[in-house]
Amino acid sequence: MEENKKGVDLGLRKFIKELGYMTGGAALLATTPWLSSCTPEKLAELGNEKARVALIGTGSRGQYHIHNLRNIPHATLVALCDIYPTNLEAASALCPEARCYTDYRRLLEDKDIDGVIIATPLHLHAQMTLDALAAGKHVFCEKAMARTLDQCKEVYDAYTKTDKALYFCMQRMYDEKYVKAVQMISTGLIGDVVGMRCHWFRNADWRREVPSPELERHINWRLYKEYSGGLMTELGCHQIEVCNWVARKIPSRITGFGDIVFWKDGREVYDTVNVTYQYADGRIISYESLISNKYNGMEEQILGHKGTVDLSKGVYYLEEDNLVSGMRQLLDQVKTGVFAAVPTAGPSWRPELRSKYVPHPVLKGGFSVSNGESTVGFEADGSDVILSAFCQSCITGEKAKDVVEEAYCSTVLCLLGNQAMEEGRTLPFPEEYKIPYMNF
Amino acid sequence: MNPETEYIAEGRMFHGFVPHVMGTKLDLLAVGVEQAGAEALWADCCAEIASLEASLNRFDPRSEVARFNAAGAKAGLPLSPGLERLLDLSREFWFRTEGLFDVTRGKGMDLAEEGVTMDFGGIAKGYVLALLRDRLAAAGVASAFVNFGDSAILGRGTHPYGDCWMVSLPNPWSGAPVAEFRLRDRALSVSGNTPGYTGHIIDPRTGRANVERKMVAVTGPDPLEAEVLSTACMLADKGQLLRLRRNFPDCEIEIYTI
Repeated sequence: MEENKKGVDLGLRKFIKELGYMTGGAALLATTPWLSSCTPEKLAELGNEKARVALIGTGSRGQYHIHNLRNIPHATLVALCDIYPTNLEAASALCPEARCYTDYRRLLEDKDIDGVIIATPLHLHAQMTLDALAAGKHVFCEKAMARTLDQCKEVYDAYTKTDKALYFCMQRMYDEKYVKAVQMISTGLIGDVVGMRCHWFRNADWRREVPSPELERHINWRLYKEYSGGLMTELGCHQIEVCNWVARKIPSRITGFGDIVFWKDGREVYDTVNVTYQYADGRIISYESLISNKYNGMEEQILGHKGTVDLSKGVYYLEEDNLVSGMRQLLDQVKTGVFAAVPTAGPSWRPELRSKYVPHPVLKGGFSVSNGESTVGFEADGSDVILSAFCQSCITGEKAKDVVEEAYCSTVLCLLGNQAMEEGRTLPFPEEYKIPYMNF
Repeated sequence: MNPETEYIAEGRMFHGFVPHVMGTKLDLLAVGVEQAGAEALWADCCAEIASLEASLNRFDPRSEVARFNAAGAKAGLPLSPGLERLLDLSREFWFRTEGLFDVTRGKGMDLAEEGVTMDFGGIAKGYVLALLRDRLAAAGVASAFVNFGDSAILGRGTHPYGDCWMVSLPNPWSGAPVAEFRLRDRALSVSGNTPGYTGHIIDPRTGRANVERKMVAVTGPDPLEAEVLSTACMLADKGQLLRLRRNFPDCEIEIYTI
């Protein structure tokens, strides 16, 4: 297929280019500076060069990246690494030409590798990232950034000193509908942003099948605090990132409640979390996640005084929307052969109370929307594009702007959310974890 | 501007929608049209409206009007032909409304006067409706309904099941119907104060706002006349109102105290 030959992300690249033309580039650079190298021209400049990348961690998410790499023409997967033979064999079957390792340190000694993709449990992210950078590799690591606040800071500090490219898989930053919606918010579509409400609800135990009991903590690492920050780092991390992206600010205090309400099966991480973040100007992010009811699904609502954007669905709603009362009635009339007056006339700027809102898509044509239920990844959610951008960096050496900073900010806020819930108190944002990128 | 479209095959209806233009929304419903032709027509109209907004939006420092307002008359900025035409129209309406309608906000249309600024808020929507009416006519669209932010409405031809387009005007405070209008090749313009937006119609002669609970509805064949007149009538006293009715014989004026 022509599209595949050119790369999976060419659609987004074209879109970014058009967005740049439309806005003279200024608005695009203001809201999404990391996309400035993500154009069809930059892709063409790569010629026939290929990034030689290796994958550390060949579980479901790692295999998802293998699937995406196949559609990235400027990358070749040369090595795989895992300590769990079942996953390593499955991944090797997908790309038999790749060399297999069981110790990632040996893999890092391989001079024929330009960059590594790390898709391991959270507690391993920091050490593996630091080792890979020290070994001179470009690094693409899954979110969240690291298991602890100190690890995050250590990785961030290493990033400020390295000349290698470092990415964390904050795929929403490369998702067309998010890019467009954030740009629309920045140009005043919904007026002043007055608050944010994000939630992610699933109804599943979050467990993976364990072939033998001694593997329980390794395979179900998400459920144990030693390895995982639970719902906050696994799900919340993406959603808090988009709040930071929209607000261009970091909350200054954090509080919350969490508990194990339903899945009392020996797990250590909460199955129910509710965290409130407040900015210095008073605005609030209300964050909620639980995994024993999925009625509310996954949403990222940016609330403005003139409207609401649901980033995850790529739609917006206006507070004052004449479509419902007037035009929609008229359209229905004509469709059903009715002739009657439509109550639509009035002095302009008429405020109205209304319970029904009409969704307007932020993009034309069809686009991909996740229901939030997959625990692996979703088609065309930006993961493929950010991976392609990483492979491009492996060739050009160009560092991604703001990606590490965004990952740092959201991970730190998620870990602080966990701390606030565990300690049952309101935390100020700690001085020692502030970085120059942050505005409060 | 992010225009949206939908085509409803039953009834061959085209609906174009702009959620965010000139501070409000714009809807066009065209009946008995082919999809491709209607979409092309809508795209052309939206491009024209976008360029008009870019020129007239006094809140956008890059617009022609904002640059004129910031620089002042003495700077002698050349005006574009489009703005000149709008100024000519405004001058004519200033004269016919005895100065009640004044885009120079009390400067009597004297662009050379110290501190003069322009504000086309009282005419721009009517101008857009007139533009759409002309484009629809040129494209041979016989039946269409345009709603620009509820306050400027155009009925072209008839509703497919009626002999006109019918709209009602609810009381902005209570929601109860105040009046009903039958539009057939006629425009309706409504001006007034609402619970959340009072005092935005300023008398150019005194600089003071009219804050009465009053609403004016004007219908007429020319959307521009209707638009200008509805604003002027908000400010007119009894004598002026009599003369306005005489100066705009094609328009019907209704004034509501609510």
